[in-house]
Amino acid sequence: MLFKRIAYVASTLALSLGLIACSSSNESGGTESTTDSSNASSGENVELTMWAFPGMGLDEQIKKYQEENPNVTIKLQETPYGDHHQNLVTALASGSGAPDVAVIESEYIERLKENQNQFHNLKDYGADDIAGDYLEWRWREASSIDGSFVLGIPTDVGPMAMAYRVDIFEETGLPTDPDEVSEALGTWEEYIEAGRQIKEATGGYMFNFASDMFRVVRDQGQEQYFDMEGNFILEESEQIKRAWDLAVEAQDISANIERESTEWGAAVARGDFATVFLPPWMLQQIKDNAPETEGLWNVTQIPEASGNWGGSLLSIPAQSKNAESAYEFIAWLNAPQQQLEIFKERGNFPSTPSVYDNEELQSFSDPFFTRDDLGSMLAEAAGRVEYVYRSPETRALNIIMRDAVASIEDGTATAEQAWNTAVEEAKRQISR
Amino acid sequence: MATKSALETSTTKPVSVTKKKNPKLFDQLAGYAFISPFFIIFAIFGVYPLFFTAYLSLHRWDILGEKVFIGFDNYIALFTNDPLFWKAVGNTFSIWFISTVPQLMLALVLAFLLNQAFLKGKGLFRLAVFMPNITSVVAVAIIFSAMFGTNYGVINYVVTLFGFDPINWSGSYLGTHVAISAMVMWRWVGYNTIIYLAGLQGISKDMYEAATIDGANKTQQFFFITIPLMKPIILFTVILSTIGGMQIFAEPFLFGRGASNQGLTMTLYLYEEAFTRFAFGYASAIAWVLFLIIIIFSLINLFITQRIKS
Repeated sequence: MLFKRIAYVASTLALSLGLIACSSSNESGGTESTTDSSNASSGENVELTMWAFPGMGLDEQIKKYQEENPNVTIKLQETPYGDHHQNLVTALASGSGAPDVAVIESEYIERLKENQNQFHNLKDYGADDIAGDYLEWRWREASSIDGSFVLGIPTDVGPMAMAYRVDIFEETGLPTDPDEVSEALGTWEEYIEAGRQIKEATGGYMFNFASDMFRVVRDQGQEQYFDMEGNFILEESEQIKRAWDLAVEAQDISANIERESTEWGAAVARGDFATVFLPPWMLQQIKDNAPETEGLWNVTQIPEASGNWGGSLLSIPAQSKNAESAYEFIAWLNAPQQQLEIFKERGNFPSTPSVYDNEELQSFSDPFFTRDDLGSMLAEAAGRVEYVYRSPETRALNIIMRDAVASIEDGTATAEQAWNTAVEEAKRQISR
Repeated sequence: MATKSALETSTTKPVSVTKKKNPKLFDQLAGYAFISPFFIIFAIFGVYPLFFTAYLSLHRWDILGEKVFIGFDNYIALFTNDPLFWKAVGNTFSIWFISTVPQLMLALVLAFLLNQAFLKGKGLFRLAVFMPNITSVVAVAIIFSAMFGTNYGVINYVVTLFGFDPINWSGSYLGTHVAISAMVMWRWVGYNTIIYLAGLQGISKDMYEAATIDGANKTQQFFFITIPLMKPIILFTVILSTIGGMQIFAEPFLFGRGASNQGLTMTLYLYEEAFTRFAFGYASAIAWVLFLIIIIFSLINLFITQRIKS
């Protein structure tokens, strides 16, 4: 979180310059593009600008695409996560400066789907032909409810698994074999119970942040704040209630350390908590922050059900005059083979089930996390993910709920106060 | 200033040489041309947004969709049904108070010390004291955030050395306010010190010499000569700090506003409404109310200043 913020402010200036630069390059691109939209692949030079946020691991594949298609130049511009979407929305609103290819993270998909006219409908470019390559729920997320509009091509998915510290489990006398752990910690109640045992035996915590636990349990349900008809069900939703109760219950085994902070890095390195909720992209973060813990980890299924955390779409803003070339590029970039390469390189998990049985994916392993069938384990987790309906308000509501759980953990509110504040604030937000 | 003096010299010369009116007119136009960049830029980035904000504040607008005219609904909601806004107002004043009062006191003492005759290497000290002000606020906030970390922060390490419990800086009201104030203070103490130093140098040395002869020590000199004579300058810095304090943004933004919104300041709230929740109409209404609050607060300041001066 901290680093996002740092990068945010640091890049604000650079961004405003970048916007100017972009708009001017778009103008010059406009003159070329009138011709190359018709014969993009036939050798005319095309320059595509692409906006993404760091950590997507696309660089190598983009390089490869340019080698294979020498007439295409991809200009990749990365800005931090929060920023990236703000810039995109601003560029769309101002009617100029938007890139040819824009990444949209799942939190923002529903909001941008409301503004379909700002994007090219990828159906017009042949998206139907490749729909079958992708996980069904992921494609549904990328399309309008009636399926007539496709906003983007899915990148990776974030099926939840759980990493745990073998040494801490051993010290406590818990099972250490992944299958046995997954069996012993089959429900969240058992998970919390094991956490208390760990705390008693070692004095350490079970996980980092109660709000993260809320999020993980919430995402295991198919309905969150809204039902499929769009009714606001925060107060009635079984899944929200369960996530809330568990997060409140588990306060004593949470270390109260936010993810992606300096503190988190230090805490992982020191082994302050025994488990980490693990979307596949988190593997790299553990390795980066705590290189000395190599071999102390193992990975298993998370209690009860998997869920998805993260993943993006590659979309083409309506402002792009190179839509055809852009489509060819993103269809290639997110094709099963490329997603497999990115997975091998960075651990971002493919959204294309056809490669799940692939030998390379199945046998993917990492000595850092001990188990040698990491790939097949994650594929199994991905298979457990189901479609979740999200709404344009989901992101704002996520923040409200995250803060509510965190305020209990900080001790600035009781569970009841926090719940009431959150419900009130949520209602106020969506009523405007 | 430069433009003006150039204008003056150039108007006097040609008029005395030629009798025609045109060069004078040309010079006048040239003068306006020279100062026009400011006005053009100010019109685009200052005046236009001001009115556009007023216009937006009467609408509901998520920036991508259509603007929907809703009259004064945004303002009504702001005043009747927005606990967060009033919390932000409270936080802002609290942080402003915690940062400004010790800041100005410290600055005055520092300036007094820097002005002493016995001090060697004055230039170096003055530079050192001013450095924080030109340091990037982002860098400051990042380092302070790490220092104020609850589990692995330097400050809590020191706190626990003295046998106290670690303080949850980012998770409690007072902790967050103090941490943010510390960043503001660190950055602005030097700035105020330099202003005070300029003021101190305007006080005649004779007074201090006379006081020394009369047997007054340094502390007495500080309280009975320095402070009374510095009053106008102190008031000036109070006004500056007030305006700055109402607009604190980067520090809470980078440190984190906290789960209970205990670090949410008025400008941060405005920003979040606009760029996190894409409620641009509502954010515009906040901007105008913020504007009014700052005006009212400045008027109060002005009133008190006048009273003290007379």
